[in-house]
Amino acid sequence: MIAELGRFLIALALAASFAQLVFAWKGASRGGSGGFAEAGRLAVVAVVVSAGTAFALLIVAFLQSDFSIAYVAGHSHIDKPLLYKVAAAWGGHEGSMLLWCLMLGLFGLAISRVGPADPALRLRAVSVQAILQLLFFSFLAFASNPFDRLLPAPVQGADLNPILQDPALAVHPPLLYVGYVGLSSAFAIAAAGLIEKTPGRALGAALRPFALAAWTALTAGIALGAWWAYYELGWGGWWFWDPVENASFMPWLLGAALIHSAIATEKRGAFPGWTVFLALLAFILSTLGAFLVRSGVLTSVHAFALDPERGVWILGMLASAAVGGFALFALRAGSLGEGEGFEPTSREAFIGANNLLLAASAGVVLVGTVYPLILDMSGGAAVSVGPPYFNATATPLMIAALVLLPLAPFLPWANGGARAGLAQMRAALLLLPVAIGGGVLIWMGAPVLAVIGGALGLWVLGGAAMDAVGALPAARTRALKFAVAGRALAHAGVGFIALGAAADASRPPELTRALVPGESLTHAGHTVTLEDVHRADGQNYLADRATLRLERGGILQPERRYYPAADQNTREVAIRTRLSGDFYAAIGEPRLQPDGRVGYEIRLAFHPMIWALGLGAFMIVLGGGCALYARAAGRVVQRRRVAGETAARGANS
Amino acid sequence: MIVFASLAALIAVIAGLFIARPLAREKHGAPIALVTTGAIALAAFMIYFPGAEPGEPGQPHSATVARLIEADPSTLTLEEQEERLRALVRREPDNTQALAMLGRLLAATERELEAVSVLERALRIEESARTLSDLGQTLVTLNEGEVTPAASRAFERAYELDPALPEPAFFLGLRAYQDGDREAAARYWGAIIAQLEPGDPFRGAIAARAADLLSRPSAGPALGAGGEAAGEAPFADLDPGEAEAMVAAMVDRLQARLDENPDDFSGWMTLVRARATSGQREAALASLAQAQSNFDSEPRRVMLSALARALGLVPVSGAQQDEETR
Repeated sequence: MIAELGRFLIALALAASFAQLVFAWKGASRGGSGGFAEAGRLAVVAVVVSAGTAFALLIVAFLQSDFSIAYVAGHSHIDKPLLYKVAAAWGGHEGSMLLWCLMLGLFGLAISRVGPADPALRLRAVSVQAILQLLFFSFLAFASNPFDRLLPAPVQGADLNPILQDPALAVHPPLLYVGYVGLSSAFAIAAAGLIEKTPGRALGAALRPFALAAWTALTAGIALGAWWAYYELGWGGWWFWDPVENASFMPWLLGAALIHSAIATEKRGAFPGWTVFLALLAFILSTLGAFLVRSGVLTSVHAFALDPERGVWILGMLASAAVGGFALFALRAGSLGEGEGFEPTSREAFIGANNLLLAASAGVVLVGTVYPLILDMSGGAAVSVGPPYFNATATPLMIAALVLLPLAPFLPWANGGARAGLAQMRAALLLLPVAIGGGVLIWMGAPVLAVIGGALGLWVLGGAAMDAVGALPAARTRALKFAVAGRALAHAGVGFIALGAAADASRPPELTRALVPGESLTHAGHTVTLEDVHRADGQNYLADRATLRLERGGILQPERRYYPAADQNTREVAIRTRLSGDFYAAIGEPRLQPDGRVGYEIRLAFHPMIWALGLGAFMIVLGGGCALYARAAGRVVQRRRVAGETAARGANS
Repeated sequence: MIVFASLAALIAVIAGLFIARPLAREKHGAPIALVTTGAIALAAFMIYFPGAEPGEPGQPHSATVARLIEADPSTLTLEEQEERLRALVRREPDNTQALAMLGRLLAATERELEAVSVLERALRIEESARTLSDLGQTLVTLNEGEVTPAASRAFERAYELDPALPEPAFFLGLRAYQDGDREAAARYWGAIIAQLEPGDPFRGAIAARAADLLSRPSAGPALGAGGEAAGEAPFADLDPGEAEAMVAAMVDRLQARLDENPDDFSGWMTLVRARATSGQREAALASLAQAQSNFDSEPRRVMLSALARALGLVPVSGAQQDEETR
């Protein structure tokens, strides 16, 4: 019953999405009020309730291990721990697509409740969102239904990919989807604004909080993914320029550009066309990401559901969104207005320059990601585009963006006063040579990029600190204080990431050696002794656990696991975190030594200051949260002011 | 089916009414609302039906397990038997019988790592010669026939607990054989043969295996794990004349050694085999007779008989074959 009910609820959500499109469209055409508008708003609720219940039923099916559902049979096992039974609901293609659709509905609901102030624009955005829902729910219902049956049912499931059985990865996909799908709301509002011929300034204000929420979640999702890769994949890397990582990085870069561009558009009416274009493009690149992961066009550690037929569906959705969005933009961009002029030393100019650098970075990442695919599809040679390309193209652009990043908050809008503003940055400017000198001293012999990255990290951190010190006391309202804190935190987070990346780039090469119990190994100043290797089987895996005693005190216990149901091995690394960095140990295969004893391959690595990456990501997310809170608080204050003015007018009359 | 259809229809109508209710405020609102409700419900059913299985109930794992436990195990597939045993173990984690059977089943389906884990778990709860022997055998299989120290420990403990169990003694013999101590191996194997009744299927099998291993030239090709010869053609690179001469020299050296030490049981078996395989049937029969007169214990005679049959030195009667080589 659960499977069929879930299937029916997906069908109902698709039908309700159609009702949402029709009624919200009609309601918007009638000024955003009346029965049709209300029906449109209620249809979104029906979509969310239907999809949400279907998703809950899928989780119940996983908890019951109902292997008559093909998706459950393919991604679960009776002995799997409870957390991963739940997480498996979004651990594969069909379930994650249901989650994606549920998010689309939730963002539609958010638009209908806290979307643009103009009721007609809000309803129009709800109807555009309904078009996206129709595309994705159709794909779900007809080509990726998580409730498809497998009859006769197998007695046991195939288990979830063991490397996905990890707490960080249980949370990573939902956050990533909030990011990807959240950008659909910016797309919907931008497209609705073009249809309604809304002035750019109002449109910038309307789409900014949605873009900010989506970008913040995307940051958290990407950071969790990088953290997971660092400790779960067993080789200590956190970013590989993997095509699927790039697929999330491109919307992140454009999202970062969008939230800054939207500020300039909202405050000064600057770049309205560019802001709308970015809003359209960011979601299209999100859908491109879905295509890359789910179509089978590439091979990646992240790729799943390698199904060309589904790829055609997603390509169709991608083409529909791109053609529809850009055609609308071409026809209506003129209605957005041109905004006011500004000096080259104004804040708008610096935001614009940074926007161009971020967009150019996204562009070179896009080229590097899709070029091998296009070449392959056109019958050309199989090529692989890896870190050398991205380091040579995207990194310089991002370095330039880091140079400009701390300056903009000190510059005035429009024109004049640049010198006075920059004077506040003098202390931070002094940090630059100090940072470069310090970097050279600290990282003697380190790669040039690491020294530059470290110096720029300190430069950005200095700028963020100056910004907080200067602007926080001057902010008079709570909303303004949170806005300044959000900006400073997010910028400082970027600084920490640059610092962490630079430090990690200068890490010593890892050391791998076979050790017999009792033998020691020294790496990066740490001496470890292999005490023993013993069995440490878990609920659904067999494991060898090594006990490594550190000379400085403490033990590390890396594991080598075998998951019988999936017939797959994984490595669980052990990490000792200190301020200086992470000491990282992994255990590999047993090796027969020449003297007949059994040794175990032990891999040691030291990642200097890797914590800075995590701290940076956390600060960006916290900054995003503060900015969202500031936005909400400002909205409440504005509503109260309007209510007060209305009451006063009423009393006077 | 009827329950599901009714429930789905009810949900669809409620959803339709929920959405369409405000439309009643519009001009001609009531019929529009009704049509909308019907259209939403109809559309939901039309989207639902392709690929749907409304008549098929869900199959939670608990229901599958209940069915398997009720079923006669002999009617189940291997996969179902495994799941049945796993379910019993989940219900009663200390059920050593189920654990031991599961371990044996996993070993039989070439999932040795899992089998070792399950058998070790059973042994942590209760020590048993049978389970120890199964564990040892699984470790031997996992190590491609080599009786490792861990396997040896398991067999030794099993042998202590139940000396009458044939497998531990056989594998302890194999361990001795792999260590180069053929006399100890012959003692272990002889002891089992002595214990087993003439009609026991293990008796013939062990005798044949012992005869095969003990008759191999000790200085010949390196023995692989399990006593299998890694290569059976030590003289392959030589021309036939040279090879024949080398075999003859080896046989002569062996005969001389046995003249000095006639108690070398393995040596006699090797000599019989060498002569039989080099076409000296009469000489092989003479050596066999000599060996039989040297070793009058029943188990050693059984091993020699098994060798003679394997080499075609004596005709094998149907009854004998049934009795000793089953």
